[in-house]
Amino acid sequence: MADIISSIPDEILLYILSFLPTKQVVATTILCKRWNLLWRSVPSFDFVYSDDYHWHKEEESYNHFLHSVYSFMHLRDLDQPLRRFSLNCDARLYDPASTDKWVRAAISGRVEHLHFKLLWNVLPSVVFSCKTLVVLKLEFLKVEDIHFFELPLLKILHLYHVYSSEGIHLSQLFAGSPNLEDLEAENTYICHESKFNRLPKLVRANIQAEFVPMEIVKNVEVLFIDWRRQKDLLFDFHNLLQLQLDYMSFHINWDDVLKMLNHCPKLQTLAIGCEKDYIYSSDESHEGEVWPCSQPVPQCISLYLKTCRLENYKGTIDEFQFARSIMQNAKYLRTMKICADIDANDEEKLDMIRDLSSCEKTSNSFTLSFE
Amino acid sequence: MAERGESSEAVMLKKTEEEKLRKGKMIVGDESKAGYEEEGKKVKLVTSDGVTMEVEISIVKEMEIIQTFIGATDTDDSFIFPISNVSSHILNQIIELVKGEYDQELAKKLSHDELKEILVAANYLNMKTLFHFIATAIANVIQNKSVEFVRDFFGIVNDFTEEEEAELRKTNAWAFEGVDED
Repeated sequence: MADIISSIPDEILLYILSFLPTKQVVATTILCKRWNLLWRSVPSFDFVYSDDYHWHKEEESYNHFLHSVYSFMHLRDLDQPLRRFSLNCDARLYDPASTDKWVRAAISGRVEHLHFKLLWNVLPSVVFSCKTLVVLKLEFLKVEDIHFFELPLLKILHLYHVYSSEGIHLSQLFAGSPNLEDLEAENTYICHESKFNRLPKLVRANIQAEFVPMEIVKNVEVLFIDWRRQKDLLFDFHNLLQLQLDYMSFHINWDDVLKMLNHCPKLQTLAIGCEKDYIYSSDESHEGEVWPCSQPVPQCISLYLKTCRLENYKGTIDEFQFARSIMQNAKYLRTMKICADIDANDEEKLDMIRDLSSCEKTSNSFTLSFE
Repeated sequence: MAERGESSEAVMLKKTEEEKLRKGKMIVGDESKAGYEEEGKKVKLVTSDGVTMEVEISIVKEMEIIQTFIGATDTDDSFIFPISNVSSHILNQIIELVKGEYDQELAKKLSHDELKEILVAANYLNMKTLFHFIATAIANVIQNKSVEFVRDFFGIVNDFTEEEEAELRKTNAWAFEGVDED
């Protein structure tokens, strides 16, 4: 085996190393002579800094961090590209000028993948005119004064807790990133606008933020949305194959689920989940609207549905009837997965399994799994 | 193989979407008989240990080295492709990973030797998605591990003298601070 690895070209080792933290990459200098200088060509920048452990000598340790980054930037081979750049700076002390300098170095290194987590510090706006960028992930940070987006190659954009005093202008952002395929926006400050650009290539979206117009995601194939956002839909999701509905606790309104499913004519995979932070546990049983009421079975269930997953299953009568109706009507169902509520005891689980297994099934080749 | 214009993560995304579309076409029973026939088609591959294996065309399509051959010759079912650098054991592992839609849980079950052999095979067969998948899986295994662990993983023999190693540790001192040497 040693022979096989010694025959692996450096470029493959560099590719593997590019997924590791820079600190570890630099430490490979002592592995052996062949690896001695290899780290200088690794096309990635990946630093993590947290002041949690250094509260008593914050400044000293932050300066030490800056020194590490500068020493790496100084010694690396500048002729090599810098494809991945990740900065996780979980610290109150923060030097915007240094970050700006590093980002500019990444841009001249033709960076493709940028990831920032900055504990509410400000992201250099130069990021938004990086023409080589393919993946951009922003978490827990602030953006200011962006008037210009030019991200012609961007395919993946994830915004997670991004703060902006005037809100992010989606119209400008989308106009500058026409090749976007994957959009996630969660707890992010979006500016309320009436006009926006279409994203013709968008195939996947995860929207858990205010003011993102649902028309933007109407052509996607994979959609994760939060429960409250599917009211008053005026159009169909014609291409949608996979849908995850997350709800914020309490009880599911199965009428709303049905309404949504009626707008997804080709859906193959349905998951109904719960925001983990908001799990609401209560002993009161809910005997609300019993499903199926008078409504017909949505077309996607009878003609397309292959996989269905129900999370936090408590075995209430409406939940059970929904699950039963899926099993009775979905001709092409392959997998029905039920995840029991964490509070359910063994006896309740046995009851759930007994009830679910006794249901009549239309598809003769599906598996019912329970956990 | 190392120069990858398109971000690999984006390639992965595209791949899963295509996969879903392909399956989407399959499920609608009668309308897609032609699709099923294409799905059922197999290609014969002879591995380094001399085993002839029939592999589904959907998997072979990811092997760009074989696609080049298929593109160049007018092939029929009797055509057999030798893959002299890949054992039947590793080819089976590769088939499982592709069928499992590159689930990182599957990678966790692989031994260190298997990971390395699949890496070499993916590079040889020019399977871009598999290569990215297995490279990140290897990165996950060695992430935040000690120098000794990484040496052991890659079968590296330390050829530095103690003085040389001490000197290197001094030059890049920050990279060795707070690291457990277990």
